[in-house]
Amino acid sequence: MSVTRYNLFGNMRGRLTRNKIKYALLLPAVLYAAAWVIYPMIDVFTLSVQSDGAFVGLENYRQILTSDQFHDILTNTFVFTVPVLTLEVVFGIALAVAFNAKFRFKRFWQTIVLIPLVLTPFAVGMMFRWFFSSSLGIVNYLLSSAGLSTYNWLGDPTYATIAIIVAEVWQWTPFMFLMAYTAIQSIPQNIVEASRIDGASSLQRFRYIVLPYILPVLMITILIRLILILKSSDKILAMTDGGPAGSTTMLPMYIYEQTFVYGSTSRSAATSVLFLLLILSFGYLFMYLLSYTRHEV
Amino acid sequence: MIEKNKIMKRSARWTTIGIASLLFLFPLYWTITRSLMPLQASFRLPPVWIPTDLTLDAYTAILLDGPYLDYLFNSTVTTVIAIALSLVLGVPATYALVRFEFPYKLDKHISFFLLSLFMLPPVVPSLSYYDIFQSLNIFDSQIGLGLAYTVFNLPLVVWFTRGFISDVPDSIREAALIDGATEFEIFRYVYLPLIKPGIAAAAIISFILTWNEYLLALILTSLNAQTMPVGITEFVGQYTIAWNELSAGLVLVTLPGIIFIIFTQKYIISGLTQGAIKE
Repeated sequence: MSVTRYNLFGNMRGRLTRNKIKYALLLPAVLYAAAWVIYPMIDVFTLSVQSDGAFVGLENYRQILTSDQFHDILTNTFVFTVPVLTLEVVFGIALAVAFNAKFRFKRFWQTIVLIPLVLTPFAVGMMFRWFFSSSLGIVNYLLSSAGLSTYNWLGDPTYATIAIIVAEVWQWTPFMFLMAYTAIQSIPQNIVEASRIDGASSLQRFRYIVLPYILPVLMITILIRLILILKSSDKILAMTDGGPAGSTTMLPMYIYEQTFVYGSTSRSAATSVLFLLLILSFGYLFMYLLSYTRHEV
Repeated sequence: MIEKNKIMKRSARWTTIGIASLLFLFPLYWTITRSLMPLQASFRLPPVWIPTDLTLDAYTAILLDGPYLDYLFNSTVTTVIAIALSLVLGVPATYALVRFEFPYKLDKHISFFLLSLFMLPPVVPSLSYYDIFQSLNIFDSQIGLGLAYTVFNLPLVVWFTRGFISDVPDSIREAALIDGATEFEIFRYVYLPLIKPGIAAAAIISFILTWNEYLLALILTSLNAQTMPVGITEFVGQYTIAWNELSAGLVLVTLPGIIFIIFTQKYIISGLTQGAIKE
């Protein structure tokens, strides 16, 4: 009897405080984030429809959307992003497959393969700037030692783009590897066994079992990477500073430059809004995929 | 036939892992060895592959004669503030979102809002932050920078801990309720100890992001609160670069991340993969 009463008491107290406590736990984070996001958003939007303090409607947007520079930046972003993602997927999966077996000192090798992921992007950019330097760089040294021709890597638009792609893939292939590897590890062993008994070759097993199974995770990882590539370009800033001739300038670099170097805040605010729309559209796709796979798996 | 297949597979595996390791380690080897050389030897080509006369000159130059000790201090203070605040705000909020029901699907919408902060490029609100910081007198301070970084860490704290929180069986919570524990006691004494790995993962990823951030640090500091990544640019003069000192700076800024991945790999992996892969 006494136990029952104690229960009732406990539950009642729980019910009474539950409503308060859940808001007390939740609200600080929400209010904090809202304060740091909502004000700047209003600020950016207000600036984007003004010019020298006067309301100009969508004029800033019209100017940006019709400017060659904006088109060039979008082209730069596309030309950079597509090879980066493709190479990361190919190398990441190759590594994940290579690691998908029992062998000695696996933890040790895995650690090595994960190192680039935790390095300061700006510092990685400085390293690669040195490697790709035309006179002091190891890349040109190795090319000329092998009897091949050398290039002015960071001084030529095409080669500079190749150089920043190499640096980005170097740093982020480990992420693709990690996600693909974890996904492969979670494939139920009986499926793999059954295919082995049915006489499927390694290649067939990869094509018809492994790849379909890890596809949702790959899609999510590609989208995470896409968002990361779009939203920060510290490494490129360190390697080329957007040059030569603006050929490696990406959206964040352009906004930074317009705001803090040229002080054309209205133009950069309008670019910021367009940038946000772009990144959010990918982001919603990401969220959608996330909820989709959560139900599926 | 089967034997031959096995040997081929094994050599393919070791070729892949071998080449990858070589490519991943070489830049580190290069930077570490250059940082231990005198200036003249550090940029010589053909390069000194295996350095023999090692010196700590570059380190003493940047730490004792240069401002690097200050950068190190600023980075550390900023990072500690950002991690502490993002965990104190983020973990209870995630707990509330996972464990309680809110009216009007508020929990769904708020989760969505917090997670979508991940998509916010730091450069977009940077001008507003610059203005706010100036008027609040926290421009060029570690505390100001730490407060700003917290916003960008929050989505990762939510992302990294929510899987761990929903993994705790409801029966444990019910048992504690029957024992007369209050909701706060359950969070503090039942959940927090159980989700330690998730908190560790969130803390580590917050550390890596905050420690490595460049653009906001560049915009929101000038002389007093410059962090390590911004400090690196110091070595790049207009005409000359002190290559050995630059290398030492690169080693110092990347070292904490390397130490973390070696000793806390388990947490980083579980945190990174939990959100996307585990149900």
